[in-house]
Amino acid sequence: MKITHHLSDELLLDYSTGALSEAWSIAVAAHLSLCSHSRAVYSKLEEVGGALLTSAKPGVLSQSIFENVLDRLDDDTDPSNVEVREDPEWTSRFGIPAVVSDYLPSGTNKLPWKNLGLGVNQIVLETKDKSATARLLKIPAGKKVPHHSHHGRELTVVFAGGFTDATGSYGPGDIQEVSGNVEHQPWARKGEDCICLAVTDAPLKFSNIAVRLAQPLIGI
Amino acid sequence: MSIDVDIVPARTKYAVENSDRVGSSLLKREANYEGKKVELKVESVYRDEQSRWIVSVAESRDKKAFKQLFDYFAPRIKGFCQNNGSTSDRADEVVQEAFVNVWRKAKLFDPGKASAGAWIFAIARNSRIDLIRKENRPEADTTDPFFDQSEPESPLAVLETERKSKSVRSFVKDLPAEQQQVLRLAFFEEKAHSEIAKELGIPLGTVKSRIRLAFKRIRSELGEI
Repeated sequence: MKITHHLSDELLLDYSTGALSEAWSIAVAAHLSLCSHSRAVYSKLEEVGGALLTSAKPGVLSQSIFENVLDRLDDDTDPSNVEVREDPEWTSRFGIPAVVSDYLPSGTNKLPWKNLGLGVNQIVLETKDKSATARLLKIPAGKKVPHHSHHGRELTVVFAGGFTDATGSYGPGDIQEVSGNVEHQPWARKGEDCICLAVTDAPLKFSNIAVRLAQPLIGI
Repeated sequence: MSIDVDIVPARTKYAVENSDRVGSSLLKREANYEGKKVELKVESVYRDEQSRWIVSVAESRDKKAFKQLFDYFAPRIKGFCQNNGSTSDRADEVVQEAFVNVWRKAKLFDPGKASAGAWIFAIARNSRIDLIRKENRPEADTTDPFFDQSEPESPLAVLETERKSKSVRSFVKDLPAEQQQVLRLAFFEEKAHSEIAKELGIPLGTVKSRIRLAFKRIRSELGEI
């Protein structure tokens, strides 16, 4: 897998410190799963966090904190039991990394795609994040997503197929970061449906009035 | 006694054969394997006692090592959380949650991937997100069949990590004060860039350029400038 579009420093730092909220973090973690290059920088940042923690001014603990911890340990199950992951068939089909598929319904081989019209399908991931939304998208091979712009930021990570827009061409593992009032029209590569994760903090604004009117109905 | 690994080829073979083994039990096994000389070398590999404590917790559920780990890191995690605006009670909760997780996850600690400090930092950060923000922390899963394993697995990973974490420590210390300040605010207070700008009374662009400079050094540390 040749990944050419990596994470920005700003995003990677916010993910490392924990400042980034859950929906964005899914996209960052998905990219990190697929890209050892970005992961090397990430592990370095965790070392920076470790260095800062080690040199932190110690606080004064309340009494019996350690005893409280010990009490809770007895209830724990044996940590040597390693969970065995059972991936449904679609996971291998779409190249969706575990950090994303963990948010999808398990025990089924059929994904609950919702039709957005124009052949585009989505599944909104259920997170506890109230400030941003993460959704899995399926764009038919060779199709164009309607022209739209953003008020905020949009992060897209590709798992299968790919897309092209004015900023470049994106394939599996690539991450695209769009911010501000950028208008774009992604075009799915031919030959294979594009499966990607898109995270947005504000509703998308479609240029086409018909699509815009339908937005509340189709849930984007 | 410490021997520089880069100039002792014998150790390479040695570390290769044991690259998937960590910790105190390894010390003895390796001592029998090639004799006393090796034991000395190995001891120098594991001179970081915090890593040894975590490995003892993982391998023998060693409560004494667990207490040592707690005594060292718990007050620091507390200080770290209070910097972040948590009340003392909340910070205590994070400390508790973090150490329950340290116990549970000790088996996942890999001294070839992270230093003890970085590993505990990540656990504390995730415990804080879980408890205070009540959100999940999505992380790349190394058992994921799609996990990109293309990074070269160094046979000397443990030594390499130790070297890296040392160089990060001195790197952080040597950063210009203004870059250090931005990193501290980001890590300790979990502040986004715009908040850092507000707090320091400087333009957002300046915060970004300081972060960029710090990253440039991080990247050159990784040898990929």
